[in-house]
Amino acid sequence: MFGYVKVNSAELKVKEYEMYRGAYCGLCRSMGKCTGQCSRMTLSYDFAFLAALRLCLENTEISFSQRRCFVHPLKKRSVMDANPVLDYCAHSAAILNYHKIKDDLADERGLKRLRARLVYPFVAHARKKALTAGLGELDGAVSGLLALLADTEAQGLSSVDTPAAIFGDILSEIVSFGLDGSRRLIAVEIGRAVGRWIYTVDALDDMSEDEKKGRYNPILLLYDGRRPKDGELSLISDALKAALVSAESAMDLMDTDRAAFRNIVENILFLGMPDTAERIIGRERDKSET
Amino acid sequence: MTDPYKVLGVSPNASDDEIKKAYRDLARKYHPDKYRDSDLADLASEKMKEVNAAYEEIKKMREAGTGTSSGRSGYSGGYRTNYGGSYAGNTSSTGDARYTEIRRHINAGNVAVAERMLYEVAENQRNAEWNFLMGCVMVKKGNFVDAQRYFDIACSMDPYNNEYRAAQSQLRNRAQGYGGGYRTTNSGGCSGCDICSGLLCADCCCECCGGDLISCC
Repeated sequence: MFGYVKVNSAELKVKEYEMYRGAYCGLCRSMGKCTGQCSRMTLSYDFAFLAALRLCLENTEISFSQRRCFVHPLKKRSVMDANPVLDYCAHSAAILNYHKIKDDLADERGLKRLRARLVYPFVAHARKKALTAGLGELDGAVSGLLALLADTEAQGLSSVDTPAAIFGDILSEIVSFGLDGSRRLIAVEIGRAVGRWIYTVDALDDMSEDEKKGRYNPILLLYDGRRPKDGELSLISDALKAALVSAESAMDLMDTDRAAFRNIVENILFLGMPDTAERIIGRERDKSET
Repeated sequence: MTDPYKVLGVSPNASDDEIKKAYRDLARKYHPDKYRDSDLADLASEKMKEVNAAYEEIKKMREAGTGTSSGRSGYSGGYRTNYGGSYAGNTSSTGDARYTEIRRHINAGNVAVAERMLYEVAENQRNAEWNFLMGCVMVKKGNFVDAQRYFDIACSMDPYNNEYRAAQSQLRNRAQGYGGGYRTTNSGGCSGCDICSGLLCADCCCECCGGDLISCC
């Protein structure tokens, strides 16, 4: 959906990177199995993060096998075998995609709307499968929060935090669904922080385009419709880091037997995500100078 | 009963210093100040209790084992970091009773009540303290962009107020401390391309002087 939540592969051990890729490929296969072959095209790294995090939080048996697939037909790769965690991630991805396409149908014009109309039957089919798999409650929660988010955006508040907090709640629903006790609390905290971060980074990333087209963008509204200047960007970049501090504290409280996946999640939170933020902020800085 | 050595993550034959270090690291990790504004406070204090109990037990075991009471090299009670206390003090800096009450709500964790009361203040009466308290509410809610903006306004309206300044810099520090020690490399380093082009340049230089580094070109 967004693709901002990635690993910094240079800082991972080779075996951890292999496991991360294995989980990614396994998730792709699970999507094919659970929600239809077409849904595999919507796979993004964000859901690989979700899979890695849920693998830390749940004691599902995992195994890998060497497989080929139609995207990588030449070389056999290590792919995680289907398990309940991957299936859950596939189903929740279907739910989120369905609601996004439904939003596009309502809000977008032109090509994007056409695209949304074309893929709608497929995402609706995928969501139906997720509902029959028992994710009806999650679907209800997500669609309620998305409606609230749309309302908040329509108010045009000059605050990026208010809508970002709602998006954080959406992600925390997805990350914590079906968990209980302390694991749930930890998942909620991480989900909230990451969701806030994704929303803010996405707003930052779309800023220039939204300015040109006169579309809603919470960061533009924060500065009366213009792009923030160099000094003002550091306010956003500090807030992005501050949002992840609570995810860091939550990770400190997590007990997990899966050290490799813990390292992967920490790599994403502490290195991969700050890298993405720095790249986008750096680009905006360059733009504001010219 | 779980193995206290396991709780601290050290081996049973670790030295006293190693155990003390492991204890300090964990105490810092689970320190209640870190979780002050979070739903995880109870979980963290539970962990902290576990760690404290394990440390006490190891100390007791070792003292009994060696038979000496070799001066418990002073490590007492909870760990203190200078993570800083609460953002807002308990009494209003301007002596406004309304703000004193709002401060009490903020410190008691009734953020929603405090926020509602702040919005009830008429717009022309919103002074530096109002902005400061609004910032405190935003910190509690995790709205860091808004919080920083309110603190900045408070500081510009009342530049000599130490409380506002402290809150402003405390929030900035939160961002600076992120990812503690995780970031090890930052610069791109030397890629495969850099190496090859470096070698080619070296070869050219050598050839200019009559020598040759790469004999085939």
